[in-house]
Amino acid sequence: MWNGARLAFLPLAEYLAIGAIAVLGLGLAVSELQISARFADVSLVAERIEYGKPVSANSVAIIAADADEIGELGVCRSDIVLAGAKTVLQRIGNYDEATNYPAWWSALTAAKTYLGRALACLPGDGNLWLRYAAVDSTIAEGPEKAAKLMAISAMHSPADESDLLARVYFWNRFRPETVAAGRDVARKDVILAVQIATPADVRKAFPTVSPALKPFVIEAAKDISAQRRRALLRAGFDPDNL
Amino acid sequence: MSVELKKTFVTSVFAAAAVLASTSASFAGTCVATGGASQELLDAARNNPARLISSYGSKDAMSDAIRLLVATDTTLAAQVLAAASGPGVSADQKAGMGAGLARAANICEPQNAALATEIQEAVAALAATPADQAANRDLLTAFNSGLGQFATAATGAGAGAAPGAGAAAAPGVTGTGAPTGTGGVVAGADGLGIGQGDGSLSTNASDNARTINTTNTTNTTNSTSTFNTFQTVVSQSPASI
Repeated sequence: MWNGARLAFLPLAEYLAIGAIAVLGLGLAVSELQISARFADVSLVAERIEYGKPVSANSVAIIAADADEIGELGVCRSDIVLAGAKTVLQRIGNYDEATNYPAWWSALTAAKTYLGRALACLPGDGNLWLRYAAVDSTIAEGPEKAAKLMAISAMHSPADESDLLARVYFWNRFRPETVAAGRDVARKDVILAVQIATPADVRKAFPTVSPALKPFVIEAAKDISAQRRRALLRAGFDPDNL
Repeated sequence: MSVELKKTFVTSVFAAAAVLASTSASFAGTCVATGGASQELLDAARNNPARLISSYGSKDAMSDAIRLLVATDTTLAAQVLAAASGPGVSADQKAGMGAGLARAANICEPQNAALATEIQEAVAALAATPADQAANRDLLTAFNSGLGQFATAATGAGAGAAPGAGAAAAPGVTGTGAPTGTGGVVAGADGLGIGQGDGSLSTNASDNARTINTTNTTNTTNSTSTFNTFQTVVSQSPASI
């Protein structure tokens, strides 16, 4: 009797469970679609920026304002969050301190806020950490803090070529005190870049090697092959003549 | 005296008065003609520098506020520095103060270089000895960095010649970059996007003459601009995200 009642009850429970899961799944799908639709313009503009297509300053300003909402709403989808990051960073370039400080400052601090939220969503993204370091240091460069943020970036993406070269680029622009504070990470980044990164990109990362990084470049150059040296020279980067 | 002569005389007197007025305004130590900090804020900072710390706790807020306060009354630089050397000031807050002072100097530089120099000299006093430099490293680093950012923006270094930018495309990851300079001037693709195009300003040491020397005990400040292109590339360079 008991078994029969159980058998009769179970299919209904299963149906209900399946139904509930389906409704939940549908709800989630609709929610994701809504988010995609809501921030479609951000993704589109980010893609244009990424592929070097022209985007007007006005468009960047409008879309970046949209992107600010990504963080405010707590959206945590990597494609949306990273697209938003691209636009809020691009917005900084719309202004400069000399001619429009309020807008420049506002864009800078908004980017910092955005990146802080983005990192809460994607704490393992070395590039986001790097960008946060760059923005925070532009607001006020504190050697220890900048070095620490760069170290976290290096920890998450120690050898990703784009992140590595980007870090080298910023190490090269930081004050010597910051390079000194992050000496080990900076040294490792520079040596790795000189030894293995695409030569043309090494040259771009080092338009001019800063005095603080020169010892690391010299150290790296001691261990590169003749072939590698030739490749760097062909690309316009002479590690022996800085 | 002819009417024409009288007119000339009166005009000259007014012109002289105007020059004197502007000169005295300069020596009053303000670099902000309009939109400066309120008298209330100025008085608060002047009378109780320690309140700068409590009022503007974060690095960002402190940098922004000090920029305006000191640009409005450059004599406040001394109060800011006094507050920076007080107890319980974090490294972040010191960096904020340094950046704020640098930006105040940046405001003064084009209109009254003497006041900008006064600010720089006040900060330079913090770097008198290696021990001082070590103790004030955060403030000095942010100060020197802040001076450089403005020089780049003011000279338009970011535009066109900008360190390549934008969307910097990482090799094999995100395609070509879209360098945009300060002001949103599109400067053309730059491959990796983190290099500098031709004509961009150098970043080597010889360009850093306006900054305060913290590598030896001789403090030098001069009016040569620092061309640190850092600020213009934050939005532009490593864009592989």
